Amino acid sequence: MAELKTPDKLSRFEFIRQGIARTAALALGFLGGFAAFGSRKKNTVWQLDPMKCVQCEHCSTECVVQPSAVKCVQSYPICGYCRLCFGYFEPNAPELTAAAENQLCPTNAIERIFVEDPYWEYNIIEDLCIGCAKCVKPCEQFGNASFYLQIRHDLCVDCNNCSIAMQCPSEAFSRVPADQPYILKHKTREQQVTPAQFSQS
Amino acid sequence: MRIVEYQKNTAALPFQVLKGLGVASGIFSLVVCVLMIANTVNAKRADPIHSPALLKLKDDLNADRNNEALREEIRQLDLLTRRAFFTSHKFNRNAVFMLFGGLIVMVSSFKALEAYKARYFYPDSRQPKDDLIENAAWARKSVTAAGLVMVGFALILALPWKTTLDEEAIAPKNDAAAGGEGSNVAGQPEGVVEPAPSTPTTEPAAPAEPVVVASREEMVKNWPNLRGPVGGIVTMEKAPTAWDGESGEGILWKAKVPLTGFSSPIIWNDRLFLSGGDQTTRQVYCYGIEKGDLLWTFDVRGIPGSPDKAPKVSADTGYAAATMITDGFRVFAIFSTGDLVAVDFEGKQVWARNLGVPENPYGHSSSLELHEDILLVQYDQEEHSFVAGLDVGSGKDRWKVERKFGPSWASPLLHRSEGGNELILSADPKVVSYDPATGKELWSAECLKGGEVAPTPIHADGVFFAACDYVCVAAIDAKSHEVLWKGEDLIPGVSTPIVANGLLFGGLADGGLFCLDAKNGKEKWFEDSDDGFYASPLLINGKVYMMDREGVTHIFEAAGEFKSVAKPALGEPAVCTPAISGNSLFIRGVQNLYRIGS
Amino acid sequence: MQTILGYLRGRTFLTAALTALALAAFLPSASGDEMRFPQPEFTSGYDFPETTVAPPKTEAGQWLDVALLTLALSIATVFAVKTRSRRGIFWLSVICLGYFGFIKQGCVCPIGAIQNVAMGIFDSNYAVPLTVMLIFLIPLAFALYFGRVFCASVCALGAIQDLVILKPINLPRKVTLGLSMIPYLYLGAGILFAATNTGFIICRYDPFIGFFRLNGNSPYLYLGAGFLLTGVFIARPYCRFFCPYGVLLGMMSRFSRWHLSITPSECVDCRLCETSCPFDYIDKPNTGLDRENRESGVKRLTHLFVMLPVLIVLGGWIGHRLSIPMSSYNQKVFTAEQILAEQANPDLEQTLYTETFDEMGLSEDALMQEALKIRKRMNVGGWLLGGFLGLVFGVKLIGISTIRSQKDYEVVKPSCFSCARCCGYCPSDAMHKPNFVAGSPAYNAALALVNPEKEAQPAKKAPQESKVS
Repeated sequence: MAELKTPDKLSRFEFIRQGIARTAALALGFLGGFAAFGSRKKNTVWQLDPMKCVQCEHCSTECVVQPSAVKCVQSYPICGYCRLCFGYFEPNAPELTAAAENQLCPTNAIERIFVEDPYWEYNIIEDLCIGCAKCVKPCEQFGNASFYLQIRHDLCVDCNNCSIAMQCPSEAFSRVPADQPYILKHKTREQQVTPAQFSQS
Repeated sequence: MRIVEYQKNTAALPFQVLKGLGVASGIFSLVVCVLMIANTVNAKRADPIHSPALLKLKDDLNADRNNEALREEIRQLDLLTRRAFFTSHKFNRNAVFMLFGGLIVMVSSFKALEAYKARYFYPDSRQPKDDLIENAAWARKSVTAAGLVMVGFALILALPWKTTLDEEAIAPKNDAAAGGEGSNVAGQPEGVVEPAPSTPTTEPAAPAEPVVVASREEMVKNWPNLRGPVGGIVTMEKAPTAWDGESGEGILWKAKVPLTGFSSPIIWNDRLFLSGGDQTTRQVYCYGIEKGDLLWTFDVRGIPGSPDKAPKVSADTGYAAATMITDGFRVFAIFSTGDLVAVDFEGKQVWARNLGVPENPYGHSSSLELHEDILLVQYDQEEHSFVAGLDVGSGKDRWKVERKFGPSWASPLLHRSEGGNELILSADPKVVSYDPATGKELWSAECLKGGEVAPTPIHADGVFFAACDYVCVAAIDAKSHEVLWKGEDLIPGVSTPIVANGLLFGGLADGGLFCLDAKNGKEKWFEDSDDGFYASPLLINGKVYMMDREGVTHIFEAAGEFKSVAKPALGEPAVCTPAISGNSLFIRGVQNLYRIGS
Repeated sequence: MQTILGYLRGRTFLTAALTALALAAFLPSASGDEMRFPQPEFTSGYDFPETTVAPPKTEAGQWLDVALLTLALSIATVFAVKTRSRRGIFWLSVICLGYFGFIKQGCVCPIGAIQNVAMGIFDSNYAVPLTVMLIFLIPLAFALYFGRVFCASVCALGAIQDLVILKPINLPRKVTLGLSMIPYLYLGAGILFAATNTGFIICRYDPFIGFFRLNGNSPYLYLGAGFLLTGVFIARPYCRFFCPYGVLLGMMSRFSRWHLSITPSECVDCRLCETSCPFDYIDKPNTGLDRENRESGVKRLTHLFVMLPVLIVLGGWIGHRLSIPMSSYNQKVFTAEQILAEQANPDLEQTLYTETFDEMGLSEDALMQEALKIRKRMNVGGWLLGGFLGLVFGVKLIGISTIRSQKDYEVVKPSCFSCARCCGYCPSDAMHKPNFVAGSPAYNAALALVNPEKEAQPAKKAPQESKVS
């Protein structure tokens, strides 16, 4: 049986095998080197840009985490603390109370607390928020846009390819540096909205 | 040879226990899995965002806002829906652990059983009957079959697929972009259906041969554009002040205009030009000014890129709102479809093109302007707004500048000064000045933010005035380009104001005449009137002629106090600015064209 | 207020314009950075609460993963090649399933990293993070020298399927050979979609991610359950018939030098291992069997070699035809097509994508240009993908038609997962914990094969009974 495989043939096969193996090893090394020199990028995470968001509800339906890892956040420094909050109340709310018929949020995830006349504080209860953006839309259209969506990184599983990003109609999702994982409005606008400036204007 | 299978006693208790455990946990996992699927389907139904029952109840409540029972019902249903939603989510979150646990137990049990059932040693007692030739044959068949299945799927998917997106579809845009000095051009939504280059349909004029246009002197003698050659200010030997459309008093002739249009008449020598249109037709008319006879009608049709059906416009704008302009040899007209035509004085088309169907909620209404041999088009729309300078002879872009503005309805102003001409454009939020020869932006002043701009900017005594309904009327210094003042109480919403004797006169869109001090914007007087003003006023022999929407011309002194001179009526509603030739006023009502005077 | 309601319920431009108009009357102008309602000045000493945010994972974690991956691969190599221990492989796979699967929740894995690397190569705007590149490369490097030890126990997807192999049936090679062509298609499509920035389909349709995340609300959980249920009977269905990374590993493993072998010494053709592989990745000796006569074999090969370019071109052409539907998977192309369709037919209702595009006020022309660019890239990619598949099919057919003579039982190097199940069946490997029970007839029979003179004499020191297969 063994005489079928002549030593000559075997060594030729072995020679070819070694040659290809070395070439492949070189190719892998090259790719590795390419990566080592080509990518000096920081670690990144997914985040959505509230300025691009069009509140289409995909965040609540497309996320692999259910309920979604995208939640509404409230930027207090730009909130108007309105008595009639467009994000909280149904557009035709009969009364300005927390009763279900007056509330816009489908999951009762916004808390409305009286501060002082005529100001009310609005908080997002994250456990209840499903990221549907129903409150974000009117707040942006008619209010100060202090409600907006963000990916919460304690919930996000950081998919290689975010499945909401795939469906987002306004391309609001992108990878951002992990050391600045949130695009928060109150940080970017802090200087524009100090109370002192408002009293001047 | 055959090797006997070695097997442990499967009747032993541990074996039976393991087997039972495996089967039981398998069944358990299956049940959990089915429950989860059922629950997922259920959760989709209990979606609190789109619960149809809840939405309906809320709608009902809108109709009957004080219905306590209904409110209670909403509260109950809301609570129920939310509870169902969260419970179902929670169920699946917990159930998956049960499923997982069940699977682990099942797998472990069966793995343990394998130690009992050492059932591996079963080489066939017979010698391998492998037939290499046969094996290779069906291996080839198998691979070929896989390939054919893939090809089949690919072809099923690929062959019936039709796409509108191809080189041809966006080709017109490329052409336009090439013609427009590389600037971005407006989308040509309808044009993309058929391959349609938006180059002129007639032979383009050779660039070496300059196009002849009338001189400024000739222009001043005529009425080539909206509000006349010098911004609505005229002197007439004998200005008519009394007429009555119903009785015919003071009216030389009256002619029916075939199609409605809110474009104002323009006049060159003995010819008067108008445009009109409806959903399907767009026309240019030429009247003889002596007898009011319709000399010719030009049908605008067959322009590449022109839509079959005109885009929706509001009744106040119509399909031919923009006033035409003439260079003394050609008349130019633009319509709500984006069709722009040049017609000679005999009614022959010189060139025609479609600028892209304007995305304008009320309809395009910016009139045309002219700088030497450049036709100026303000084309502000939802996106891809632009201002362009077109060659009057060929219609080709001389220049084109993208404007980052939304739609506007104002007409451009060509401001002539010793320092050079400027093209002034009003739109939310800025007044911008361009070099009419190159399109270079010269300056801008932000003063019209947050409104819908219709009045044309005007110039008087080194100051530009621009207005925007509900926002302000603003005065901008022509030299420093600073906003001198803003008046927020009395704003000419649609009609363009006029300035005389240091005073700014305007009419409110919903009724009322007013006068402001042109230096500081202080109110001089306000005079109530029943009907609003859309037509632009003229200053004839020091008197302001301002026609309201019912066709009544309010003639008053251009003074710091309101002093009415006359209020002659046209007898039909009118929104167009009059044109003047000799001692006659030419007014277009919604139906008819009138010559008034002597 | 009615207008606001109208706005929220059914959005048309007209209502939007009306709303804007109505609002302009009673609200101060507030577009851009200005705010409609000024920030209140509180008199009760109210402090603005802080918006709380949770930090993301750290990069150190990713480097730790790379280190752990390398460590796991090294251990797997020792088990597969050196100690030939199925037990070791098994327990390592349980540990790796726990860590890479359930703790790290499956991301980033080398299978998905194919797409990151493809995107990194073809999209100049995207740089592959070094950790991801290493996660992609290290298993390949191991495969190049030691075979697919990654599949043996490190890959969480492989491990979860390997665990549920309870009643494997041997599918006829007729079927498996055809099915094993799918991974090439999947690999090519995955690379094409990633390279054109259209999406990561390999990640999107990963069937086990729902399990790893223990996410009861994911529809993919059921896909995974389906795969696992199938996997009870058809061993490792995803690995064998879908996994795109397996193609690359196979290419490396084919040339591996120290691959796991069934027998540590010389094969005695006892046929004990014949049915030990649930994946049917053991080739039998074929010496002494009838072979195709030389003349017809050469003729066939000539035909196939001539067919090869035809197959490549045909495949390329089909890929090119397919590029149009494939590019519609790209959101930009999809939106552009929708816009054109709506313009051609004004009765069409706007989709979310076209509506959003309108709302954002972007240049339609630029979108069309870009969509066309993607379409063009997809077209080139379609030619390449189709050509690649044509080549793969052609080479496969040639491979089938050139049978190397084989005298021993050997693993199919490119496919073998190095799970070491077969090792325990080899009587030559009595030193390495085989699946034999001392004194059993099978053991005796096996020993008889290896050492005929020791027949009927049970070994004094019986190797331990294994509880795992």
